[in-house]
Amino acid sequence: MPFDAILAICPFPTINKERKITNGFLIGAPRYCKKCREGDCKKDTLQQANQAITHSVCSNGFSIFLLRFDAYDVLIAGVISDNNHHIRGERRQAYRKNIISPAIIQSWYDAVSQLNEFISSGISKTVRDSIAELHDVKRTTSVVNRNAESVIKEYSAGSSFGDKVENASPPLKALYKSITLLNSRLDMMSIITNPGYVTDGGLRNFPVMKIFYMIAKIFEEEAAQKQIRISVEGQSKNTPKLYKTFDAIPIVLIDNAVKYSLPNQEITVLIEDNNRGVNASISSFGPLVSKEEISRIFEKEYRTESAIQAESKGSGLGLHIAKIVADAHAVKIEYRAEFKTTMNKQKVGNNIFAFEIPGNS
Amino acid sequence: MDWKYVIGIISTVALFIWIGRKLMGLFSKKQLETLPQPAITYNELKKRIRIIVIDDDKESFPIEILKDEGYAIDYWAEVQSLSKLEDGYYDIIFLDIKGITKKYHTPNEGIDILKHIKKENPSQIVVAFSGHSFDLSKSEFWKIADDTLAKPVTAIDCKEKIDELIKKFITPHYFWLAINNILQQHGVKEKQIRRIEHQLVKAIESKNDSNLKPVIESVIDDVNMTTRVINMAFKIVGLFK
Repeated sequence: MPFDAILAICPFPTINKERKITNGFLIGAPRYCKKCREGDCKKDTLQQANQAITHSVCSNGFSIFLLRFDAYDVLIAGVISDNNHHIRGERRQAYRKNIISPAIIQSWYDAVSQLNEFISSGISKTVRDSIAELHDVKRTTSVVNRNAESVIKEYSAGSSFGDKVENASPPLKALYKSITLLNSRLDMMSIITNPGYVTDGGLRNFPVMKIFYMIAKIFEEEAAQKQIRISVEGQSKNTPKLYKTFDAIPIVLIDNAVKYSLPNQEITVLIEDNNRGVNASISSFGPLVSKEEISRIFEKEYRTESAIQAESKGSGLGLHIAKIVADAHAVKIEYRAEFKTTMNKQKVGNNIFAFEIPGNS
Repeated sequence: MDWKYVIGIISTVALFIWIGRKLMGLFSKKQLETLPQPAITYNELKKRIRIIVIDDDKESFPIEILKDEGYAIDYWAEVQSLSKLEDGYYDIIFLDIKGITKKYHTPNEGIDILKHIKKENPSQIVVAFSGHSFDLSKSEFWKIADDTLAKPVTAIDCKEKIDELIKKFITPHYFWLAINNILQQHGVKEKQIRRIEHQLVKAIESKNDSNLKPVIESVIDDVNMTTRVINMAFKIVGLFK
């Protein structure tokens, strides 16, 4: 369940994402808390507790409950636990409607945990059922593969199949590349339901420059339709050992760059060796991700406002998948926005995704 | 000093040393690692490697294109002979998960077949080949196999995978390591293992492997184990032909 939804069903006052106290649907936040300058309930020291529920008392005598769920923490503040003897008598009397017992907090915590589990298992089953239907899609794709290969074998010149693919006519080559992309996308869907798949098959040599170049070529046709040019620059002789699924990262980043780039622009893929491995970055010109949204772009199913406006359809899974794969390789993908101008009240500029691939060690 | 006398002594000593070394060469056991790398060409190797694809969907693997590329590929829609899979008859097995065990009625189908092969012959190379990469419950299949190939695949994917496996596993060193492991696991003494290795080297050097099988049979009692070791020994010899 999303964090905002949790707060909406909380009967007690809570600290929201903007770090402000908000009313619960049963108990309101004390006016005292709304004016508080100390902000004890927002301090990071509270986050160090390990238990599921931690109780502490702020400098104004109110109780703070920190509730740890799997995906996030909820701070209940501005209440008075019935075993809180720190609060002054008059204040306790003035806010007697905010007196609650820890048992109530525990009951609410248990109820929300169960609800989360129920929703997760329901979503997992739905996702698994949907993904299982993908198996039929995969079978059909195999048939398409074999037919495309038969056509290439029959109508292209070359002594080996690889040569025939190289010598194939442009539409046939484009068809074969599209199939390769389709295969990779189907692979990526597996990562959502089976994250362990990321590391299946073991490590293998990954010729960075060659793979990035190949993926950029796959998206050339689609980019050309928006008069976008993809250029691959730099040099790398590195062939680090990576899992097969690593190509999901350049696929997602270049795909997003093509999708969200403004027309008549250039996408730059830059690859450079350094002492530790390989630096890679994908830069495209278009609407920027806002500061508030940057921390969320790798969340599952999250789409930024600008992404939704640019392209109404989208699963919000791409960057999430890229992050799963990056994490498996101890790689961190960083986003940087370089503001250039404002268009239609939107900030536009260079969207840069950069990461470092560890070299052979 | 009579120089002829001195020269005579030196020559006699040198002669004895030479004879001694020849005799030692006769009695010491030769080792595989002393041999130079096999000179077999990759194209020739491709033709000799036996590959089997076991999948109820024949369209899933580009068999005809790879046959045209020079690979020796057999196809079964379902498992026809467990012993052929266990004994090392096939160098590389591409194994699907579902729909391939109508004859053997195993509850987990391909996973059970894979476990059985690996139990009987841990050195048998098996590639998990399936479209069920999304299915968490099939994770074991991917992890037990020597390598994985998720469907759908292109001919180029398959060719690259096979070439990678041949370079990694189809080597004298890999096969000898596998033979060694089998023999040690079955309690064969080090002296006997050295005897087999010596006979193997002799077969390679003389290009005559007629004594190899009798030597192996004389050392090992278990029929199944004998078959597997003989298969692998002949594969090693074949690499040097």
